Amino acid sequence: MDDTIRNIALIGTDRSPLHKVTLPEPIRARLSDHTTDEALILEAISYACFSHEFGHPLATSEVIIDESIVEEKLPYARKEISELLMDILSVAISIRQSLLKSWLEMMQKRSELVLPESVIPLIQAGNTQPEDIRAMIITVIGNRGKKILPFLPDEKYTTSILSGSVWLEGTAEQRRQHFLHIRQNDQQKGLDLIRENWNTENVRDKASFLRIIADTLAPIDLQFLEDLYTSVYAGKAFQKTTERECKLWICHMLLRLKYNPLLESIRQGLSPYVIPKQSKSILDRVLGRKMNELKLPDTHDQFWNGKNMNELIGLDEKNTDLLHFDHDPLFWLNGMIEIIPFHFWTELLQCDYKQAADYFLNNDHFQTTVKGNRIPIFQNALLGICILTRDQDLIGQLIEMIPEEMVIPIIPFMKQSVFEKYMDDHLSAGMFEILNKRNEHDDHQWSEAFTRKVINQFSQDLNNGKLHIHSHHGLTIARFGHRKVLDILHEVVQDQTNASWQAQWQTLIVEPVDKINSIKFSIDQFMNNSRL
Amino acid sequence: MNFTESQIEILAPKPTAFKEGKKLGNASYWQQFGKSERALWGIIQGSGASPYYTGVDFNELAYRCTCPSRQFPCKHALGLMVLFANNAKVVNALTSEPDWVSEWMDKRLTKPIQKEKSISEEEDSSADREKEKRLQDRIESVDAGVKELDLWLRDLIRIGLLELPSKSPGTFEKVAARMIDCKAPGLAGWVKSLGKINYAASGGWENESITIIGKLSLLIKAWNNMSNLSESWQQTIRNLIGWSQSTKELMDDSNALAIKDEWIVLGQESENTEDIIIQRTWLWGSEKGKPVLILQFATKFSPLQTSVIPGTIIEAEIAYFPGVHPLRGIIRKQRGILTKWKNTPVYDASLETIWDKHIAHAAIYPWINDQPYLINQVRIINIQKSWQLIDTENKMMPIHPSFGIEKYMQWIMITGNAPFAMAVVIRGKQVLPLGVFADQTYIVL
Repeated sequence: MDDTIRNIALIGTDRSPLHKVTLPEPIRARLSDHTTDEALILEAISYACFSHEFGHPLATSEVIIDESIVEEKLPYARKEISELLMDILSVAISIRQSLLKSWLEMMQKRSELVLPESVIPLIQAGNTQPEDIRAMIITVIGNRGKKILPFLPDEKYTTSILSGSVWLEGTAEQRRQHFLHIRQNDQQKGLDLIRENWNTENVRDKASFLRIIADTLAPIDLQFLEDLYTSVYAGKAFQKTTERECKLWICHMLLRLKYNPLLESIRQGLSPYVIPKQSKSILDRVLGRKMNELKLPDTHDQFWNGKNMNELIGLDEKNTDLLHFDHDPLFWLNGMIEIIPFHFWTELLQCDYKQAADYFLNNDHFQTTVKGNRIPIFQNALLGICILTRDQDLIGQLIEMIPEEMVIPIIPFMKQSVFEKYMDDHLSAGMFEILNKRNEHDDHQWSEAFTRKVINQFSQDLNNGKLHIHSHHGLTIARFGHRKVLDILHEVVQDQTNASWQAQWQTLIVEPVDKINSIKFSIDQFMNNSRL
Repeated sequence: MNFTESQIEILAPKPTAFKEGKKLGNASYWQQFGKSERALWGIIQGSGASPYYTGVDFNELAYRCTCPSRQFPCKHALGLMVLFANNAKVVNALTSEPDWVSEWMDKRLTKPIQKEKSISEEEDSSADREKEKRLQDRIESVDAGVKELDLWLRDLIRIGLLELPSKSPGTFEKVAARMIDCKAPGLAGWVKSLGKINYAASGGWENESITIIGKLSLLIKAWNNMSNLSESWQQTIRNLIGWSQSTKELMDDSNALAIKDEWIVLGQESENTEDIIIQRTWLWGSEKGKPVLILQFATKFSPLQTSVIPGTIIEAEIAYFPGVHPLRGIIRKQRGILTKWKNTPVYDASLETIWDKHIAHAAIYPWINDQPYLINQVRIINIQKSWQLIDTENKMMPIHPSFGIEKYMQWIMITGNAPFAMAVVIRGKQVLPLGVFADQTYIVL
């Protein structure tokens, strides 16, 4: 638009009187005679607008245009599979992620692409999902789908993921997720990836990658960990917390992989403090059953001292938890229990799991009093090693010995059979909170008998007024219930005469379960039959 | 007829209706169903005691159903269409119509002939006088409104448009309401659009407001010069001022410009403004190469009645409202829906060609907007977060902001980034892509 006219229009003729001669000649020549400046400007604006809108040539692109044709190598999935996706995206968030993951796995197995009309909803759904799911999404939207990702307002799908260079260019979190995804799918590939650039990684990232290796530990990792340990960490003390953290992770994994030099040095270090326990049981004495116990010094000595603990497995040199650990050796023993697989202690103490767990939890020397409460000082360490090693024998013992509220952290790590046994004593109105701690993707589906127990208890609690029926109950049953869950739900409703009860049962429980079950069933069908 | 599910979805009065209808698109629900050259029909058991009789006239897109639903088309009609869309091989064999379908269809073909009311010469001249008086009254009223508006615009220019952002929305509404009182709703629309500019956004509002004022000022000038204008110009100006155009009169006007052709339905757009939905549908005559814009209006009490589906080809006669640059029209007679065009449409070769044409149109009709064009070998690119339409000579035009990522996705899926012929409308200085011509078919974006 002509600047003179524009400026006068914006500033106003009161402040910027019009001098007709300053107007562009083509416009000036067309202006009528006007009595006021304002009328003249209005007419000039009309011409200027026309000129502005139509009086310009088209722009020519000066950038290099991407003229590459985007082809697809994989076929598109049939319409029903895309519709199934839309059904998944309409279910409650609590179950959507699991179903979406199953659907993506099915698509990857079939080597098919999602239909174009579902690409954008799928990409948008991925915005709130973890990186590994987004990586799966990228594989099913095809090359044409990938083409649109850079233009999405949300930057969840970064260019580094698209170009496959996330490992080199991504953020720390993206790289962590990328490594986790690879390790979960191909441990050797993950190991090769981490080994390649290990020396250039910063120590914080190293600690985070070691945590992932620990979660997906396999015998093939031994050589890498041994090399790291012997070349960098063995016999050395580290002052930085993150360096010590790395050393702790490496030692933990080496001990799980039964790396003898480290096991031996710990065993030898502890052996002077292992003494036979005087059993109070006559039967034990008669049968000659002997259990050892640990007799720790109250002060530092050649083994129990900060430098040695740091050099041995990377423990903190100072007791940072005086509230729980009166003596430093207790603090360091706690650190060892946290990372050493529990069977080591049963061997050292020459006892079974139950006795060892009982010893660490209930021995008088391993108690403290906080705010008047007697607390077993190694309880958290024992829970920690359960979580790291998923040691079902230890879990089985702990759930018998520790308070209910302390069991919660290990619930997601229980084997289904252990969990169902544990829940036998905990079926109550509050059970849904515990049931939801599980992860349906980790083989945590309920057995038929357990499904029946849960549903019977649930219906009893509803009848007794202990619970108000809610859709989240239906979702929990749908997430974990046995494939015969619908039959069981129908059996329960047959015993009911109350029409309102039946209607709520149908709407809030049966229908969501039915919908989710049919989604799961369809995914299985498409997964197992590529001709469908 | 060869509707797709997505086309049937457009016909649904609301998304839930389509979802319910789709469920009925399974042959097992229907006691009987069939198809002739002009209609689909089916009998379905609903919740009532008697089954529902459902029919679809697919030449003129009309429906009947004996169900009590107030939705139009009802879920049964939608379900019937989905049934035929998804099961082409199984159910698409032509059969003879049952009597209830034939009767309905024949009745539709025989349009009721309205009895000509016998009017005496005296009554006739009295009606003319009344009409003339009404016209004079309106002209006087509009005159008064135009004078006030002109004064208001001059005041704006005197104090400067930089004051516009500080004006309350009420200022514009008040002036617009005054224009409505003066029977000039077209002018009110311009004033409202001035009030709707986002003055908080930095950059852009200045040119936007000046452009509106420029066009409005030109319209005022044209109104003041009415006596010197030709009849067709007078009609054009009256339309812009807000005189409504009677569809019924055009339907009966044998002198109106009318074109018979196979019309490709290029695209459709709905705009919701103050409880009124305005639906714009652009069509292109594949043989004669002429575009038409069909406008439909709806309120919450009178829903849109979709009679054309984007992406289809209809054989029809279109009548144009008179004006210096006729674009708006109505479907006077629709003969059927075709699966393919007989005459491949002619595409302009480059963006410069359509731009030159657009400038030529603007020289005739300066308020030109939303003019459709067909253009060959173009692709969509993104330069510095801005979508552009680019031709093989690297000339480009910015794409209208209403073109979103979903449409780009559709485009990339159809073309794989290869240049294709496209239908666009030029809106202001931007283009709005409507669809792609690929493999002898037209696909709407």
